[in-house]
Amino acid sequence: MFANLLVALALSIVPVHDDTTPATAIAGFMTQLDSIAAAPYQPRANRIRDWYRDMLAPLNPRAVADKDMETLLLASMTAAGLANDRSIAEHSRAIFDEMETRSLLAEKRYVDMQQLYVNLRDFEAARAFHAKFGQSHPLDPIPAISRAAGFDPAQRSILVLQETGALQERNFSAAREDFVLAVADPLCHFTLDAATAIEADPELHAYFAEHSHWLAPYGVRLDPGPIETWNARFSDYRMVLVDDIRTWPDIDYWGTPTFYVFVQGQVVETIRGWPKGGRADELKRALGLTRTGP
Amino acid sequence: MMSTNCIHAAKGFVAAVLLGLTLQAGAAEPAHAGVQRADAELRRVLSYELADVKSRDDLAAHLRTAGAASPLNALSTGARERFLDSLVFNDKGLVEYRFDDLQSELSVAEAYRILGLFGAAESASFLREMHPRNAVDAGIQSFMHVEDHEGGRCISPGTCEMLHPHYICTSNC
Repeated sequence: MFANLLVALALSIVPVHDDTTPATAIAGFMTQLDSIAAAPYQPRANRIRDWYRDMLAPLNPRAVADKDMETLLLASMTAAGLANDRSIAEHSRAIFDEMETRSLLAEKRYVDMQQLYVNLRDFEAARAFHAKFGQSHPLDPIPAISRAAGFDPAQRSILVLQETGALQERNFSAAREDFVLAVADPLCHFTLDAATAIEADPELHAYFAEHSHWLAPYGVRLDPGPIETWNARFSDYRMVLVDDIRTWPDIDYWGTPTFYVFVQGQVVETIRGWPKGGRADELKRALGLTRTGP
Repeated sequence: MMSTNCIHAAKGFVAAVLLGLTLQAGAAEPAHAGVQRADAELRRVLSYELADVKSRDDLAAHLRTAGAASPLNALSTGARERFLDSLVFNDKGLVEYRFDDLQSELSVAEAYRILGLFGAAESASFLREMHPRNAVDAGIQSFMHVEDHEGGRCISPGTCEMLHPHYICTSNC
């Protein structure tokens, strides 16, 4: 039995890319990706980086057949976004450029490539991409980014929408008060349901109006329209964007909506999602708003 | 054909949805916006509720019975396999799917017919971005209003993560 376990263990660590074609390497990588799609952010990022290095990074885009290029690009862009890894994004760009040379790119991929740079907060690369392709493809403009006085990029950081449509990098202090951090997407149906339900509940609204921060994760476009609309609609729950995701190490899940209860600067409870029926009772319990007696 | 029981059940369901949406809209939104949202929401909920395929079992039954008539046959073998593998269901129906092959291989109408099996046709925003090949394609694009979350996956109930460019997270998540 012990021998069998050793054999199973040995098999499980055999590199998957041995004797594989690009097509099977890509399919194998996507299967691995699927297997950890719902895992917490940082361990997932680490696994993806390792798998990518072993399975897809060795692929030279010039040597990959036309029929496999689209899935390779999708695999690469997904990996770069989920792992928050600019070196993977460089490989994505090499694949993208090769596809452009071969006229294999769908219109949507131009948007996806620029959004990848935005998601990685590589604004310089996003601007260069926009300068090259923005005339011939429908790409969002990249807003001007400024820094608040005294901004420290090593501390928790956010991007705040200015009236001009520009964004400003600011630090965020989690220690100044107890609060709820709502990871939120202004276009997400579940986020909207959550905000609507919280606003309609007097106890939750009273708490959230004073002690909540609404933070849009990577993946949300920089187009100011949706956030402006959100802030007009939910003026007590104004939304900002995450700046450098690495400065938020205690945020495990960036799906929307996710609620993190911070007490004395530490996450003490996480409430994920807003399915039908909501999670108002869980939020109240976590925030100590539930009445315990008559 | 829908049975009488099904019709009664659907009417009851619609009434419940309408009541819920009316209360929700009345509680927190301006009346006009609330009505618009309620209308769009109702269409979306109904579409998913009345879908033929709401589970893996339904899908197997469809593949068995529809045979060559299945709209899924419009996809190439590899694309069909990838699409079917990507489907995730919960008790309400489809919660996420890959759409890249639908977008690259099919016409708007063909993709619409496939997604129609799952109730996801009207809320698939990528259909609007496709190049219409004829008047039917353009017609379909003109009446789509509600969007599921393109680029998202359903990572837990009621939670989408928007870093997956080839997936769609549906409102059933």
